[in-house]
Amino acid sequence: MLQIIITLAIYIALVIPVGNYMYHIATNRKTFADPVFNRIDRMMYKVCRIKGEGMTWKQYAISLLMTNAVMVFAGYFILRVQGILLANPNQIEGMEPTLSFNTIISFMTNTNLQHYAGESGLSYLSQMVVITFMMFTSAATGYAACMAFCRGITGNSKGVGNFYEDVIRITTRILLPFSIVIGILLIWQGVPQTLAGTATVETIEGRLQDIAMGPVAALESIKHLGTNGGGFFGANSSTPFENPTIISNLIELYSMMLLPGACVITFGKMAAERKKEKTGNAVAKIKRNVTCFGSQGRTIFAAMSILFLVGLTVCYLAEKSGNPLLAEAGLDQTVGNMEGKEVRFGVAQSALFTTTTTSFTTGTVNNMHDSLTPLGGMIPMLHMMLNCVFGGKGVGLMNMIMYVILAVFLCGLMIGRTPEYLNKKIEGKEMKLVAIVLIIHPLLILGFSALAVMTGAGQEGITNPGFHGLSQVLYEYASSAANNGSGFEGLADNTYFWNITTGLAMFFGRYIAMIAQLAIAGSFLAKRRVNETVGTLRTDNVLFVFILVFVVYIFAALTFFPALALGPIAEHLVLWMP
Amino acid sequence: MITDIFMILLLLICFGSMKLLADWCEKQVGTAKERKKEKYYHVEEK
Repeated sequence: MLQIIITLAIYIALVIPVGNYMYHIATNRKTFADPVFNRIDRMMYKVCRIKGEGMTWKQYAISLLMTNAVMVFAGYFILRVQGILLANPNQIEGMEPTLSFNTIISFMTNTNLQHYAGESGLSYLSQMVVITFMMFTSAATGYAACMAFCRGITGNSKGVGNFYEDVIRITTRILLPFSIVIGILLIWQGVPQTLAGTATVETIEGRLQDIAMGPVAALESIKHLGTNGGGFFGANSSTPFENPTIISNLIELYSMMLLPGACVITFGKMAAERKKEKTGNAVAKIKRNVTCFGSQGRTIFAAMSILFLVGLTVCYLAEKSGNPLLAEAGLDQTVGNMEGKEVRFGVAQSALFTTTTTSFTTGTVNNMHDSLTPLGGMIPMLHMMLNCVFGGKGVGLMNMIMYVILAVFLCGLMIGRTPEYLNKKIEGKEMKLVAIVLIIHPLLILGFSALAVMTGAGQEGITNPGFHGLSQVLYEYASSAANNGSGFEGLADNTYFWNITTGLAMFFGRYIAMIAQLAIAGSFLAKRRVNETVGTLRTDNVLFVFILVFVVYIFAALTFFPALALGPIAEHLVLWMP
Repeated sequence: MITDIFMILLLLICFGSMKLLADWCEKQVGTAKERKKEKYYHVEEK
C-alpha cells in the first residue's frame, strides 16, 4: 500500500509543472523552449501552408475530421498491402480487410484495441508508418480538441484556435520531446530498439526459439504518453521486452498519467485567467491564487482523484483478498490473487497499473485483466464506462465538464439556482448536446453488448460460460467506446462481427462526443458573460466536488448497474457465497 | 476485394455521418445564424 501512496505523491509533484507548461502552449505564451521550437513550427507552417487564422468550432471540427479521414484511408491501404512493401524482414502478409478496418479506426481514435498480435500481424513499416505515426497524430488530435474546448468554455480568446497549428504545436513541443526522453529511459532499462529481424536462439533445454524484436522503445514511449496503449507485442506491457523492470513500470505509469492530469491544470489556469481578465485591477491578487491548479481546475482534479482512489482501493482490496477457489485447491493466497500477474510487479503495482490504464484510458496492461477477481475486474470496466476519471488525451476532461454542466443544471432544477458555469448561462441547446455526449457512450456499450449476446456471430467469440462471458463482452465494448483499447482477453475477437462492431463503437464513441463538445464550446464562446449573484451556484468549492462525484456515480448506476449486476457482481457473489 | 469495397464504403458513411452531425449541432447552437447576422451588420455599417 505504501508503494502506491509514494507513486501517487510523486505523480502530483510531476503533474503540476507539466500542467503549467501545457497551459503556456495552449494560450500561446512564451516558454523556455520557444527559441528551438518556434523555428521548427514556422518551417512546418510554411511547408503545409498554414496561416494560423482562427477557426469557428465547426471549421475546427471539420478540419479534425478531414485530417483524420485522410490518415485513415492511407493507413488502411498500407495495412492491406504491407506484404509487398519495404521493411518486412519477417515476410508478414497483408492484413485481412475487416481487421484492417478495425485496426485503422482503433489507432486513429487513440483506442489501440488490437485483434492481432503485433509481432506476427504487422511489418516494421506498418508498425512505424501506421501504428507509431498514428499514436502521435491521434493523441495530438485529442489534445488539440481539448485545447479548443477549453478556449471556448472559458471564453478567453475570440475563436477556438486553429486545428493545424494546435496539432503541430502539441506534437513538436509536447509529444516528440517527451517521448524521446521516455524512449531513452526505456532503452536504458533494457527495452529493445532495433530494425533487425526476429532472433533465433538456442534455449537452455537445447531447443530453438524465435524471439521477436524491433523498434519497441520508440513505440513504447508514445504508447503511454499519448494514452494509446497498443503494444508492440501481443502480451503488451506484461512482457519483459516492453516492460522489463519495476523502474520501467514506474516510467510507463507516470508517462500515461502525466498529460491527462496536466490538461486539468491547463483548464483550471485558463478558467482563472478568465476571471483575471474580468476583474482587471485585481490581477496580482488572483495571480497568487492560481499558481497550481486554479479554483475550477482544483474542483475537477479533486473529483477525478476521489473517483480514481475509490476504484483503486476496491481493485487493490479485491486482488489482495485472493481467490477462494484457488485457496480451496490448496494454493497459498496470502499475497493475494497472483493468477495472471507478473511476480516482479505483485498485487499492488498490478492493481495500480490496471486502475490507471483504464482511468486514463491508455489500454496498456501489465497483467491479465481476464484473471482479475470479479470485483477487481469490475473496476477497470466501470472506469471505462465512466470515461471521465482523468481519461485520456484531454477527452476525460471534456467528458468531466459535461458532468459538471449536468450537475450545475440538476442543482439549478432542484434548488432554484440559476444554471451558470464560468459566468455563462446554460440553456436548453447546450443541455441537449450534453445529453447526447452522455447517452451515446452507454448506448454504444449496452447496445452492441446486447447485439453480441443475441446473435450467433457474437456468441461464437465468447469463450467463457455464464457471468464471466458477459463480463468479457461488456469489457470489450466499454474498452472500444471509451477509446481505451485494453482487452479482457479470452474473447475470440478476430472475426467479421467483432472487428466491425468494435470498429463502429470506437468510431462513434470518439467523434460524436468530440463534435458535440466542440459545438458546446462554440456556443459558450458566443455567449455574453453574466455577473455572479447570490443565486449563482459555486462550482469551485468542496460541496461541488461531492455533488460532482455523486452525479457521476448516480449516472453510472442508472445506466450500467443492471449490466454489471449480471456480470462481475453476480460472479463475485457466486465465488464468495456459493 | 468485395470486403475491401464494403469496408471503404463503411468508412465513408461513418465520416459522412459525422459531417451531418456537425451541421445539426451548428443548427442547434445557432452559431451559423449569429455569424450571418454579424456579417450582415458588418456590411450595413460599411
